[in-house]
Amino acid sequence: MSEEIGRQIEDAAAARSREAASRVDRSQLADFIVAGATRRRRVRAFATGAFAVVAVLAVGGGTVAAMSAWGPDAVAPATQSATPTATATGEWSTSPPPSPTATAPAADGGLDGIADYPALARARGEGFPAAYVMEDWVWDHVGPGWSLESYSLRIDPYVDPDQEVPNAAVYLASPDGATFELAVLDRAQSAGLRILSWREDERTATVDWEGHEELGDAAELNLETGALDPLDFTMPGKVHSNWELPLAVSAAGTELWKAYGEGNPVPRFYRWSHDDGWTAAAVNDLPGIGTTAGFDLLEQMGPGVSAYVRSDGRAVALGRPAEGPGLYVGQTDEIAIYDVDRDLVTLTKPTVMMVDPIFTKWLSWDTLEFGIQAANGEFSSINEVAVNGAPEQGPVPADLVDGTLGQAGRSAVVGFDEATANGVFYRECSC
Amino acid sequence: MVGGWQSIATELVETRYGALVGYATMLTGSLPDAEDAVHDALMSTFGKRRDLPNVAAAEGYVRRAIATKHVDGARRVVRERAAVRRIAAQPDEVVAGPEGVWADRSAVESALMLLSPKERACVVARHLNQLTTAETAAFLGIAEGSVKRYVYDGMHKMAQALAVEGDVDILEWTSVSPRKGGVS
Repeated sequence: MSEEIGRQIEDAAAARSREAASRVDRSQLADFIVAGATRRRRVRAFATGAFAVVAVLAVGGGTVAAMSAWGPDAVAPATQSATPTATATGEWSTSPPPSPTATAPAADGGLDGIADYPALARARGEGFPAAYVMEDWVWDHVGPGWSLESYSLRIDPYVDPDQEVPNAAVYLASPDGATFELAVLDRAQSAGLRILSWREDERTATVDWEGHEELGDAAELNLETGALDPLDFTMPGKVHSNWELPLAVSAAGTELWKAYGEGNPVPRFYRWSHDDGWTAAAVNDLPGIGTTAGFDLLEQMGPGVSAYVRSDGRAVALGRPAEGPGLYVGQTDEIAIYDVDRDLVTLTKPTVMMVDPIFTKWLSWDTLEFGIQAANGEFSSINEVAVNGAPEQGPVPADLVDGTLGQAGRSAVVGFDEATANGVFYRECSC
Repeated sequence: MVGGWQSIATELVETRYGALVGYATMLTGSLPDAEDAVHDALMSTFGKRRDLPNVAAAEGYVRRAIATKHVDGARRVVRERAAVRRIAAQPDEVVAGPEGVWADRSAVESALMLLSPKERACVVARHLNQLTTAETAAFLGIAEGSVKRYVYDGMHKMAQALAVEGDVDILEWTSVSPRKGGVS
């Protein structure tokens, strides 16, 4: 019986589909939709622009404080004096030839304990460091003070999605600033390639890169072989994830990811920790997670800000729209705080009215700031709400590196046994 | 060359507009209302920066926006009408759905209009979008138990209206099995 009715619904929908398709010029309609949506996006961008300045200042202030707390163990950037001289021609034909002029470090063992460095690797082009060939014995010297670095070119897909990019590369950097070439990526995985985290014991790293749009993809990179093993979650409905997004990483190295499967707009959240490996995150148990009526990451003020993640990467804020009598449409009536390290969700019923709130930042370890937009797109008020369950504030790594659009260079640094900078888990959208 | 969300929006409209309106018509009961619903959903979907990796994901988002707005809109209309009745001290009456009368309905479309907005959203999600009960629950943001009840009641009403004989058998689509990288 259900099959028969289902078939009738399908037939009726198909008939209406044909009728609707014949009633409009779809090309014109598409132009209309894109133009209208673009205007809306501009209004939002304009409305949030003023707050971007405040946010940057606030983040900057936090960074200074965090750097003090982080102390001398922070990853030191490679220095020219320890960079080997290179003379080979880079593979990237569109770039000018490299011209490093620094000299090789003195063969005295230095901080990295290496007396005789290996041969020079082939130069990769402008923006890339001159580096030594990696040899197995170098791993014996790798420890505190060393770092893993990615070098790549970020492209702007909206300017030229077919822009040629140089092969991205991943290096080990010694405390003396000597770099060792670990892997050179294929072009398909090279645009904006970044190291997201380093599993020192396994000699693997998680990396992601940008596609021809604002999309990214992610994989585990074997640092010994250079092989990439794409991240792939099996989602409900036997669907494999086709888009994995890093959301947060705590000082303990625990990560939160969001993944989408083909044809399914509802995301699924996954967590990686040293103790448990990959598991489905407790966030998935929130009612209606990822749907318009259920919990979702709090709407934030702009792309790439990821303000719903606290600066230490340990707390993530989500909200749920109101439903029920006496509540306004667009009102957020419940906030969930996800403790990344403990895989624990705590709910808060806000005591302040939150109608169409746009989240701007964490004001403190347990207080969120949000703005309310007026009809003209500007904030009519700025408010704050205290939340339950926010874990104690952890250290905030300061060494965030984010490649500049259109310029090849160092795109991420992760120190040995040091927390990954939470900021590396998001990037400025170029949309 | 324009890429990104603009390409996705353009491809979605050019290739899936008819299907979206067909789907929306099953919810609104009227082609003009369905066209409006699709336009609104497209605008709200692409008018904000959000994670839409491809056309399929964008279509899913637009469908969900249509369904959510349909259910929310119906709830608002019912609430507003109840408020008006209280103010006017009029006796309660049976409140029809938000959809107006549209003469050009097929039998199955008329039958769908006999369902409450949530029943209709669940039946259409299950039988047109081919979502499982769990997926329908996530899609509409309601409990799985509610989905089962709405689908059962809705199909029962439709069977009566369409004079389709037989018991209400709730079909279920297949699902789930974890693989590498994480449990589902």
